[in-house]
Amino acid sequence: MHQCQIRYRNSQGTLLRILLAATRRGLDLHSVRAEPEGASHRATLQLEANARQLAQLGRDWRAIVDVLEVGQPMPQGDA
Amino acid sequence: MSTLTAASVIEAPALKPRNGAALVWASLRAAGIDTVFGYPGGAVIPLYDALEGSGIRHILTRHEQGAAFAAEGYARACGRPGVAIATSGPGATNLLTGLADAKMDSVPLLCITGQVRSALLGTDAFQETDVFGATLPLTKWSHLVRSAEEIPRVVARALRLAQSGRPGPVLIDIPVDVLKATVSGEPMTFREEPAPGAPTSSFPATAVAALLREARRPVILVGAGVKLSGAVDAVRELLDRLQIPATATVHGLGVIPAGRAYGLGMAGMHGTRAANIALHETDLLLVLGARLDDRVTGDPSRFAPEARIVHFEIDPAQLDRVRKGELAVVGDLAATVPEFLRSLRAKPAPDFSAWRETACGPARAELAAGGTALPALRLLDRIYARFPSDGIVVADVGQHQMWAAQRFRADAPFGFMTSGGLGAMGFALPAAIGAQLARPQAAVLCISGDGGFQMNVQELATIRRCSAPLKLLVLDNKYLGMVRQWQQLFYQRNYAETDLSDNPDFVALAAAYGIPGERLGVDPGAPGGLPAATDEVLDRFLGRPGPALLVFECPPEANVFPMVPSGAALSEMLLCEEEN
Repeated sequence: MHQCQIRYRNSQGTLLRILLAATRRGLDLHSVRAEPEGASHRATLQLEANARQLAQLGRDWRAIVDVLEVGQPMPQGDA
Repeated sequence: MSTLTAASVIEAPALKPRNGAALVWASLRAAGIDTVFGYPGGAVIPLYDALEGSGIRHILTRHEQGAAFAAEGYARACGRPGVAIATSGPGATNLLTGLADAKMDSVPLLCITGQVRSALLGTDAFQETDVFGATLPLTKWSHLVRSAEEIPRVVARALRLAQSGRPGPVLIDIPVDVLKATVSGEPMTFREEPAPGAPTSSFPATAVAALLREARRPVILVGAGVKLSGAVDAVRELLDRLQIPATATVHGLGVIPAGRAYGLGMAGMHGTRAANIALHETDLLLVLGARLDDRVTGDPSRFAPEARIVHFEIDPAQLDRVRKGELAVVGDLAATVPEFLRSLRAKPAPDFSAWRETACGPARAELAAGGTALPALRLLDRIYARFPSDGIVVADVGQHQMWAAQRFRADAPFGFMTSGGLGAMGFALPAAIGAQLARPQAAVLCISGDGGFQMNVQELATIRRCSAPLKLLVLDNKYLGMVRQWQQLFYQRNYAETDLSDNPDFVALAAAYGIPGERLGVDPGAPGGLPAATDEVLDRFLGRPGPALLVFECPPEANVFPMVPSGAALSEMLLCEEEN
């Protein structure tokens, strides 16, 4: 299980595009939290993915219009 | 490739009275758009009501998919965004294949869809579809407009994003009440936030020089990004300077000048023998604006197995996607390739002439074209020999597409377009219309198979309506040929549902749309299989002032070779029928 944090501008569909990058790979999203943070928003996702998938996800998230910052995925204990 | 002027201040001119629909047209005009493709319907009637006097030329297609592909062809031919318009519900969903195609092939496409009125959103109203939701994975950006005042800003942002970084499709969904809403007649001026620039890493000259110094068998792979970045001249200078064996993806065709000693031809599943062997043997692969999709790499785990990869790419999302690279040069090729050239002026690259002579030499040349495909290949050679070098060839998807790509030898970087990533049959006919309208002085040749031709055959009406002097070539083998080829080679000739022997009479069909046509068949006794009258027929076909159709009846079991079977390595290509 990994936790990923993404800071984004809360324009239409941005959060959905972030989630779709995971679901198109058949990854199960264990939890999703999205909330305002200052002038932008932060999404926190917990998901099961291998290192290669996490690397791809990071690149895909960065390519989404209005995504401002993608943090390093943090390994989590068993959910 | 040109782009729209990146004005930071947008002024939508005043119109009285003015509504949301008029604002759409005015905003498009303000951004330099003068041509759109579309199909009316209930939710966009206000848009069409405001069309006259807008300064926009509207091309009526006969299906919304045709509008999307035509807009794509327009964009691919001139580098400016293509715009397609459709109504809500089925009109909007018919655009989806075009959006997906534009996403895969990095085409700047703006789709504008009408939507049910705001009060009905989410009620499953007549012709309501959540097109915003349905297109999220297919678009780079999208927006559901909630007030007419938003329109100028939204249109400007959409067009900016469609062209920035890696170009792609965007969508604006507008409820019909927003289109009808009256807005102030005063001019609207606003400041458009600049689109995020492509991230650019500084050019790692020392690292690249070291890799070149250590390399023994370097190869350059050229992709669509070279054209999209407007870096063709710089890349050609780079190729001439390095003299390294160079190959191209199907979208990179036309970048590598014809006749150069380092030219390997096309790479990938139906690429040349020389290109695929070189890619398998290389120890240093310089990838310029290609995303290394599986049709180029074959089995990714066995692609260029000894190579260190230096990937020049504008879209960081494409890096390391199928194969881990040694070094990434992130940024616009129009910036990074000139930096590469400057570094070479300071420190020239080693001499790779011995490797070049091996990789590009006669021992690896194509086997003489043969088998049942020979007549089609010879026909394409004769057509290309007559076709202007600055003309545009638009190929559909299937066997004819690969034959057309294999035989394409023009130097024109924008001379060959096809649905490369999505592989959407039915692309060519409407895309060729768009290309012709974008470049009215250019000769445009549309090459289709009998399957794909029928997927958007209704656009023959559009050709007639706008008097586009397109030349339509149908290679008719009365099969879904590429699928049949796979069935032959990998499914024990079980030709399940690929037989199209009940095709209509295409010449009569074209005649019904007012387009003259004729038919040419194979002469088994003639050299190359082409009848003696071929030259005369081709001169007549290409020489007609208006649109014309030529149907070439191919041998039904003609195959495309070389071929790398799906999941195989590039080194495992099949070269001819006899191997099977």
